[in-house]
Order: sequence, then structure tokens, then C-alpha cells
Amino acid sequence: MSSFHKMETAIWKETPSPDNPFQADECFCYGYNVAEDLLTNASWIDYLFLLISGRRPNKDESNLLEKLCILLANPGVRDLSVRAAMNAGVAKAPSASTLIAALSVGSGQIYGARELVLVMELWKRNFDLDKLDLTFTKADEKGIWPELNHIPGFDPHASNTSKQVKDCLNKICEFSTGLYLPWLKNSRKELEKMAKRPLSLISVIAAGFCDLRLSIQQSEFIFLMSRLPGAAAHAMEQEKLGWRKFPFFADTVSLESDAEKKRLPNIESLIEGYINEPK
Amino acid sequence: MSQSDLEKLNAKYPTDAGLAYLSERSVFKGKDLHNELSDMSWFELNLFGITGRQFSDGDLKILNYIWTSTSYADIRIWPNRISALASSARTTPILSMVAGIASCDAELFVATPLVNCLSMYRSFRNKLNNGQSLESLLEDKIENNETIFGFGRPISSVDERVPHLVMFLNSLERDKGESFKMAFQINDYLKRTKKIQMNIAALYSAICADLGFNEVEMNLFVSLLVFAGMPPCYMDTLEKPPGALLPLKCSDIKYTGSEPKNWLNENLSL
Repeated sequence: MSSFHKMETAIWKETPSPDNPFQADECFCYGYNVAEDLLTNASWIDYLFLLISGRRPNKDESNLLEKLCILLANPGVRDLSVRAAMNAGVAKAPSASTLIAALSVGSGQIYGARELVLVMELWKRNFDLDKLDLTFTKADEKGIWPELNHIPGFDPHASNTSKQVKDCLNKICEFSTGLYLPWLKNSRKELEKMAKRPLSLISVIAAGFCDLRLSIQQSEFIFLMSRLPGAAAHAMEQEKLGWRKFPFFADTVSLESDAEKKRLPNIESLIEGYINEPK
Repeated sequence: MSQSDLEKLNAKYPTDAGLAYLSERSVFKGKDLHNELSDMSWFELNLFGITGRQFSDGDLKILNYIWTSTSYADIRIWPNRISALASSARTTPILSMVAGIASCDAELFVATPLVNCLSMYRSFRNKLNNGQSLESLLEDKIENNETIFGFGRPISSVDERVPHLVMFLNSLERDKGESFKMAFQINDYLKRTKKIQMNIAALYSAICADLGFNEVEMNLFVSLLVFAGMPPCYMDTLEKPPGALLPLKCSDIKYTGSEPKNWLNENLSL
């Protein structure tokens, strides 16, 4: 903790305007001039990779990250994070509130960023040690994350691999820059047999990030950011369609333990004399 | 878990949380919100929602003290500074508060230290009952490079909230619980061996462990622990010029990165 207000960074440099020390005349990111160099010569994906990892991707890495971002861009209308965004969107909340809803829900241990973290750990453990082991040791002491009750990377609610997951795995393997995606493709059946569950799409994404040689934390950040376009699109669509078309699940949700029913106070008698003088 | 679980829940989704019968009444954890719970303070209702339990006046005084005594209205403190930055950026009060609260899942303050510390007491209590000694449990943790949450404090070594809390508890003349006493035994050991002192998380967690909170209940209870400090920071920053919270000059940034490079002319050996 610094007691003076100098902030340290190896990422960003600004040269001040001659007449105003609070105004930047030139900005450099990892040494590249943003206005004069990156803006003209770098793609968004290259710049994203550079920012998050501190190194420029090669062409193959850039291609693979772009493909992963396509897979991530819209988790789909039934995804929990997108549904959260739609709840905010249909109520006409600010755009930031909508994305915060998507980010929070999309951070979880199932279908979310925390699952990606756990799957990447799992794949690295399995691949690096050249053995198949899907067990997680349960710690004596608990932290802020709820108890894990499914094997990360596997769909706990399905028995067979979806065509979508198989298609995505097969296709993205064509862009693999490492050994993890081919390993996953080759080991899929064995892993699924061991887990007694089919692979989920996050397991494919996790192998892709492993191939990119990104750290687990770097991958988690890209994962969270890259899923927001779909959340935004679906939120805006529901806002346009309006709340009347948005399900309230009135007939689905039922109360297990009800309270004693009491009548609503009669508002008319309670406000007598408020509008007109009492007779 | 299976597909059939989803089929069942797709058709009928039972809940114990409560239900709003719109235009009629609202049930909150099995009780009529407006008829049975309206005498509760919001603080009691929140605790009832988290634990399903109703606490004695004495317990509520202590739990309320936990929230009050750590509500620091200092814009430099990280969650407050986030809310103040949001205010400086002139965003909405709720987005500002949410941003500050979201940071409270951090490892250095609020959720992580408090939940982990409570979990340590729960785990230690079991192990002590099975005959292990507190010293050996702490030595194991230190040997395995595990963080002992609740002890040590960034920025300063003494936590001023500790003596205030102990004085408050002494004034209530209540028996101290097992975890509360254990916190001071751990403090004594770490002070002797590592020159580390307890921070307030050690005592907040101990109190909640002794009141029977589990980890999830503790986490939910402390989610608004430092909230009350944020609105004053938001309001204060609103009085300042926009975009001017603790302004930084370009020269206030110590750049340690690479020299200027050119994207196209770079020799890539990738």
C-alpha cells in the first residue's frame, strides 16, 4: 500500500499536454501508440489479447481467440446470465445494470466463469499429468463459493453429448494452436464415461483458452467480457417486446409453506375524509 | 441431478422463500409479511430471511453493532472509493452502491476474510473436540502456507475496532462463546510467534460462529456490512466537480513498462 499517490503500471503510459498536466497528449499501451499505431494496425482481437496477457498474439492465436469469442458472444436465450440481463432489460434498467446482472449470474460455478476456472484447472491437471482424474478434494474450511455439486465441464442435466457441443469441438479443433483441444477431442468419450455425464460447451472453451497459453485468470476475464454482447442483445429485445410478453411464471412457482390468510385492509375506509371532508 | 429433475421443475417449481399474491398478500418464509412481520426492524427481517431464526434483543444489539462499528465513511477505503468514483463519474446512486458492494467479495476485506475465518472456527471446534490442540492446528496452517483469515491488517497493524467491540460486549455482560475465546487464544499465539494481531474479522466471525451462523449465512449477513459508509462518500463526491475524485496528473503514474514500439515494424519471433 502506497502512502503517496503515485500509481504504478507497466501497461499504460501517457505524455501530458504541455499546458495541462491532467490532459494526455499521447497514450501508449505496452509501448504502442494508441492513436497512431494500434488504431490503424491492430485488430480488436489482437488488442484484447495484448491487453489481457501483455503479449501480442501470433496469427494463429489471434484466429483461435476470435473463434472462441464467437462461441462466447451469445450464451443463448435460456442461459442464466442472459435471463438475468433480460429481467433487467424488460424493466428498462440502465444498460450498465443489465450487464452487471449478466456478469454476476455469469460468474457462477455452473454455466459461468467460475466453472471455466475449475475446468481449466481440471484440464491442466489431467493433461499435464497425463492421467484422467475428475475428482475435487473437499476442503475442511469453506470460502465464499457455494459447495460444488457437479463435475465442472460436464452437463449434470443430460445423458448424451449435444450435437452443438460435438460440432463446436470438432470445428474449433481446426483452429487449435496447442495440444489441449485435440486432447479433449480424443479423450471426450473416455472423460464422459468417467464423469457419467456429457461434456458441456465450457469444457471446449476451457481447452481453447489452455491452447492460447493464457493464464486461468486472464481467460476468466475474457470469458466474462465476451459473453456480454448476447446479454445486451436479448435485454434490448425484451425491452422492445415489453413486460406483458415476459413470463412471470405465475402458474409454475408454488409455495410450500403458506401463512394464515388474512383479508386486505379496506383502503376506502382507511382514507375516508382524505379527499373530501367527512360528512 | 438429471434431465427428469428439470422436467419436474419445469412443470412445478416449489419454493420455501415466500410468494407475493399480488393485490392480496405477501408471504415471507412462511409468515404474512404485512400482518406477522411488520413489527420487525428491517435488520431483524433481513436476519430472519437469512437464517429463518428470530434473534433475542441482546443478540440483535451485537449483530447491529457489527454493522454499525465498521461503517467507515472514508473515501479512501476501497469499496467506498469505488462508490465515490462512480459518484464522480455521475452515474446513478444504485449503480454506485452496487459497484462498491460487489467489491466486498474481495480477499482483503469483508466476505472472504469473514467467511473463511468463521469456517476456520467451525472446523477448529470439531478438531479440538476430537483432541487436537489449537497450537498444532495453527502450526499446520502456517506450515502449509495457508492464510489465517482474521489476523493481520493491511496498512496498519492495530485494529481500533477490536477494543471498542470488546468494551461494547463487556457492557452487555454476556457470556463469551467458545469461538470468541478461541479468537483471543489464536491472537496470543500469532502475536508471540509471528508478531501478527487480530483484525476485526476475527471477532465478527467468532460472534457469528457462536450464534450458530454457517458460512452461507455469514456471507449473506455481511454482504451489506460496510454499506452505510458508501452513501456519505457518494454525496460528498457529488458536491465536487465532475470527474475530479482524487485527480491524478499524467506524472502521477509511475510507468515501468517497455519503451515505445511499432506494431508493423516489430520483429516477431513467435
